Amino acid sequence: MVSNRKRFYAFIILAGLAGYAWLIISLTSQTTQPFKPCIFSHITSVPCPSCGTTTSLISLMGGGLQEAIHLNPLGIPIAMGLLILPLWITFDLIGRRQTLYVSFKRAESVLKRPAVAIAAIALFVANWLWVLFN
Amino acid sequence: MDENQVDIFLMTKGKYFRDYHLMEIRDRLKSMDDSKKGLLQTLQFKDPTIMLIVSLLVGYLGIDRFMIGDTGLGVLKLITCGGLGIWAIVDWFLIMGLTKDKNMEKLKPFLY
Repeated sequence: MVSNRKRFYAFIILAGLAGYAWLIISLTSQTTQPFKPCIFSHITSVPCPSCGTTTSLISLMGGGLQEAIHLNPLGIPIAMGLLILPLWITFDLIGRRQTLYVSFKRAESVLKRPAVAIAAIALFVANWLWVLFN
Repeated sequence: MDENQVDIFLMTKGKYFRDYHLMEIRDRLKSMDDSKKGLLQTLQFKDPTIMLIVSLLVGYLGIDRFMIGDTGLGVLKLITCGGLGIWAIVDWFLIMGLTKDKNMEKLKPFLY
């Protein structure tokens, strides 16, 4: 259990760092045709549910909320995650707490309830359709 | 459980667990009460090879993580496009071991 928790925190820190690194690379990139890391869209030529999230995040940083929603609404929860998670992790590490891990596990068990899962899937499919037809 | 039944269990279900867990499973099953035998037969384990195929085909959408019960990480993988593709590739190598760990977690309440 302890190793699971440590692994979780290490993973979230690594994922957050990778997210910030990717954002910085995308912001400083001068090319007109930026590299797309999405295997799905490379194979099928169809954007995946999270395609456009980076551009959405960049728009959000410039204050373009409408444009961010137009590109991919998923950019908003990801931006919130990127802002909140470092603070939450710092709070947990300094106070030797595990509130993030406990909340994550609680959210996971809520998501496993059929009604919540169906609603989440419907929301996600709606988001994908939005990305496809915009 | 008698030794024959334990051997049959390990022969048929051994591929679902890590090699180093097999001896522990064998010892615990031998000392297990016969009343739990029926319940043990009803347990459904995830096949690591099937999970590898799922991971190779739709891993970047997090489906492999959802299937082994890591819903939270599945959502993270889905909304990050398979962790920018890197996590999806790393999972091709990890998913078989993770599936075996999940199977062991499922079996543990029956062993102890």
